Amino acid sequence: MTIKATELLVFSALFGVAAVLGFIASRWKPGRSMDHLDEWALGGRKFGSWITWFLMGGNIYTGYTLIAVPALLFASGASGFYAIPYLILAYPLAFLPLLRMWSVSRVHGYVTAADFVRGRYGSSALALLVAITGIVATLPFIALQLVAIEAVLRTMGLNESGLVGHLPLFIAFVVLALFTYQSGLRAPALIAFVKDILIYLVILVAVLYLPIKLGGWDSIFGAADAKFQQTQSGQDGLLLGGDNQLQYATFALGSALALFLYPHALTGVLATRSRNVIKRNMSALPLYSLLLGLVALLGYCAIAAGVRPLQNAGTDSSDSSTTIPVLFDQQFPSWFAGMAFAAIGIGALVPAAIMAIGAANLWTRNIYKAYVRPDATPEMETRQARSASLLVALGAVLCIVVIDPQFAVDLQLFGGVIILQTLPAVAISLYTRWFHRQALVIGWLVGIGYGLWMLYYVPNPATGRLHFGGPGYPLRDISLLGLWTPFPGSDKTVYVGFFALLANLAVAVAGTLLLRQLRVFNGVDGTRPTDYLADDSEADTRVTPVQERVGRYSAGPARR
Amino acid sequence: MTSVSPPRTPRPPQRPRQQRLQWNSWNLLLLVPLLALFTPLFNRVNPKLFGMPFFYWFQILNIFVGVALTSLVYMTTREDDYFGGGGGGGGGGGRPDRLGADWRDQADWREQADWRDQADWRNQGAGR
Repeated sequence: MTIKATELLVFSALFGVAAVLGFIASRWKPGRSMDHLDEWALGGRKFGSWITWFLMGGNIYTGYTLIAVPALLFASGASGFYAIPYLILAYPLAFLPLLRMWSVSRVHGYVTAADFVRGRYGSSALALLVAITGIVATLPFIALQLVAIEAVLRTMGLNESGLVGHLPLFIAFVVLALFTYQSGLRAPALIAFVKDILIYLVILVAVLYLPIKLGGWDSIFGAADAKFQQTQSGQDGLLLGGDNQLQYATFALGSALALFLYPHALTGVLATRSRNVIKRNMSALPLYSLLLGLVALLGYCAIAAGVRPLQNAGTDSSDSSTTIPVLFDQQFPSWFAGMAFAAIGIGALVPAAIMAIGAANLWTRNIYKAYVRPDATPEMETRQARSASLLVALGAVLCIVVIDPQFAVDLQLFGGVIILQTLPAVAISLYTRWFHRQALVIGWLVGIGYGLWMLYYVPNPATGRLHFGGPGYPLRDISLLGLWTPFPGSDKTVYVGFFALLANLAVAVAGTLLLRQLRVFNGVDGTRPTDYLADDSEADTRVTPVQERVGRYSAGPARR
Repeated sequence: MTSVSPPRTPRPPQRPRQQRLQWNSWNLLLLVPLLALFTPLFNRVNPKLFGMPFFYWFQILNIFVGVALTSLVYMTTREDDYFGGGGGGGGGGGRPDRLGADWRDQADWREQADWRDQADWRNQGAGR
């Protein structure tokens, strides 16, 4: 395979610009001190509407998403389009809970969802479970961003086997880890601007130009239809079949509910300046969904253009994540393809950095500070979080290099299911403290255990795998402890996470009723009802300016 | 939508009534996008738009509906948040919810090694 010099040159130049921006970002709107998590991890909690829009856009519509969603449509058609209803729903559903989360976090200085759970229930154990869930769910997500970077690198001809094949990825990883360590959340916030300009430019050109070149949408959909007609599987096609509609809906709903439970999404929200910034972004962020909807249709353009995904020399199998990169490589002049690849590569850097920060925060606040060094000062916390972000990024790269990219995909599927299990403890608890903390722990265990068990038994006939074949569990196999099968003989499938959440909620409700009957102590609530309504305004003295707080800490050792 | 039952944890008796939820009927608009889950509504080919089956362009169109609804809720609830609702038994919005200066320090509970001590200040704070 030959190396495509022009593409690689354009890619490297733009990637280099992003890296430089990442390093100088530490001097962008600096706070009084970088030795505080509010500064390193949340950019001083002062991001306005525009910065947040770019940051969250990069955070949710990741480089991996932009190649994985069209690859899904390329492979199986309509069911891959679930990403659109998922993202239509995510913002309206999260709109009100996020405002409460922001306010209570601002008043109490919470940095993670687990911080909130700890404050709400006075339970480090429940907070620990939420933290571990967040870390486990985030790691494969970072790994997948590296998969996206590797997909464009391999398309550009750097497709070697063994460790040499992973060398370019190592370079990208080192860049990512170092600027995250150096600049914290400011780095992805600044890079997101560049990434977005690139990505909008590339996608608009591609979406206008490709249909014309390939004979219009009519013939593109026609080609896709012809491809799906040839296969024997009932799971693909231009429309949903009778059996996968329920899965389509539950997968979209489950993903929408899970989105803002992910640590990286919440990190972006907590970094905002005020409640109105969040409201404005919940209204404006869906514009990225429009972009994603158009990108998704590029999967059909790839069918019409006769794209064949690359043979990955590292894993020696057909690499579906190269579908869209190959499409750009074939259809566009090399300088433009290079720009598109840079957009994907940089688009992967932004979320990867935020994810590393989110996971590092969970480790620092809810494991290190809660169990290892309860007396840690803000300086020590920040030092710990910075080192942890390096380790998290290293773990992600090892997952790709040492294990298998497919493992990251499987783990990501699992991650979505388990992060959804923190919904009762985090999202519902924003509204009510009715649940008992011990019941929440048991519900969490049941939800995750059941989810994992179901995922294990999902086969994938298309790839010939027996386990972890996908997110859809057959309805006929649902049973209540083997005693009662509510849907015998049904061929419909349902999203695993959805049923796991139902089981989780049922157990949590039953457990709460029991524990309340037994009058078991339910911890002390460290929050007050008005904390959930606080806003950043002059009149609201509950909200201490971040500058003041950070400055006080950095002046000397913590007061007692 | 959500009612809050009082937790069974011990509370100071003279705790002032506080507004727990800020409710605005416009918020109900946020539930409309749930229709995007009802697949029989749009799982069809015709009518086509620019050669795109209905399934695709209808869902893309729904993005704009979602934007319109959230924007509408934002615009109708924009003023709600200043002063964080009526607190301290004030009985309604518009009144500044000023908490005492001591609250500022209490908000930094995380620097305390044992957070359980905080139960004490909560009792004091409520009597303010």
